Amino acid sequence: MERGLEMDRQASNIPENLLYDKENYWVKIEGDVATLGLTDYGQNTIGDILYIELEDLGIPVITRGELGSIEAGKWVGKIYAPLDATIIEENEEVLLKPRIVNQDPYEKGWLLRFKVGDIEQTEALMNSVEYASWVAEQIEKEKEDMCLYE
Amino acid sequence: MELYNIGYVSWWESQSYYHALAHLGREGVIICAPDSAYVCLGLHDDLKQEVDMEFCQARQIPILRRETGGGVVYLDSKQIFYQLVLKEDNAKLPFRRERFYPIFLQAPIEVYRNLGVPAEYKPPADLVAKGAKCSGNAAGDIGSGVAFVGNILLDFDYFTMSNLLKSPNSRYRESLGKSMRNNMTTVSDWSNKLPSYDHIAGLLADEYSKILGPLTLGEIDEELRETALMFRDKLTSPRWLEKRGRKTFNRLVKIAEGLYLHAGRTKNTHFVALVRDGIVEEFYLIDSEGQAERKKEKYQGLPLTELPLEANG
Repeated sequence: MERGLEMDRQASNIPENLLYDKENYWVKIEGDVATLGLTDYGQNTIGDILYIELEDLGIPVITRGELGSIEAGKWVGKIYAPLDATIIEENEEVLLKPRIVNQDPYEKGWLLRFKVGDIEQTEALMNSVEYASWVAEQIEKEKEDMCLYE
Repeated sequence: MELYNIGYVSWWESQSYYHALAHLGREGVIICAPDSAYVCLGLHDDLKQEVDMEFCQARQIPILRRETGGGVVYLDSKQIFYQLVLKEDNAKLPFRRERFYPIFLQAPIEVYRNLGVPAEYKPPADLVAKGAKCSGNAAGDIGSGVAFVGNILLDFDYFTMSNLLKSPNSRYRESLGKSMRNNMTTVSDWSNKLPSYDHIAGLLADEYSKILGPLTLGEIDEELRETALMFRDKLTSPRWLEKRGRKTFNRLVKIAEGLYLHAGRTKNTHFVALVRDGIVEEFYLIDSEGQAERKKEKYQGLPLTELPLEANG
């Protein structure tokens, strides 16, 4: 698929019932438990994911603290906590087959579940409309990058 | 931006300063070389799977795990490092980080060419000369910074590298050494006289100033030194070195971009295969002790996935 069309597809693949951060992670809140995953746009900016490492269960991590790391191609990025969090469950399937995240980021490709430290912090996250607008801005920047770097 | 041309430093310092810069949210180019040899694991390498600890201990080769990606490397004083740290919001940094590699690598490419080595960029992050790898590079987020690191290979100790990597049998080790020798090249292959550190550092500094703008000479200050010491302790701690890493079903070593040496089981015995871009270049059947071996020419040129191997299901 042509890259422009692929970007447009990702910009529209943003489920309404989730919250989002600027690291391109989605969060689904259910009571005081949240599920975390990478967005469709996020997985595409990272590329083919080779390995995912997550921090141990049960250790509290503050917002922007490290929940793990992702390796793709010749790049290692960190998974930052969007909220104060304590991991309570990891998706073992994606740890074994990380490319599931590339294939199905919103369903089978969820990364972890965590206990939310402070539910009020969710106010700092974006809803789907705000995230779609933010992604559109990033795509414009990417198009500028493409002119500069290709 | 500041240039830290710190010369020959201890093995741990050759990795710790760029971690420290990134952690502190400072930018800079570091040029240095280790004054002794060591093994450097990628962030997600599994120590026990990748490294022959007995060999390293016998030769007193220390081990460090960096926070950037890529695989295990053997580093020594015949390699000169270039390390660039940018803040994550630096406008020069493209949104997709990998796109910065061709910019970052333009400097070592020009340095290699100046030394008579016809280096070219091979995506995503290798440099090659006449098809042979002459530099491996890596990158990663560290703190609020982004680090890109790589090295100019003046020479390379193929023997030590092929022996410190864990090998399931002697055929694998032999193929490892041979395939590295056949698919890597260094300045020593192109020149009878090796250039000095100062010469290369000067060339790298000139080239990076063309890419990044004027560089001012920086010195390792107290904040950087203290943070580097903290990283020395972290990156070499037993807990950090032994943390769980990426496991592979078969023994697998990446020689260069697209080139892998595999070892594993067929239905009845063991095999060693050199595979380039998914296609078998060499294939050996060996007994369980790794002694008797038979080269299977008929598998050459076939996709690895079409061979009757356990890993293929």
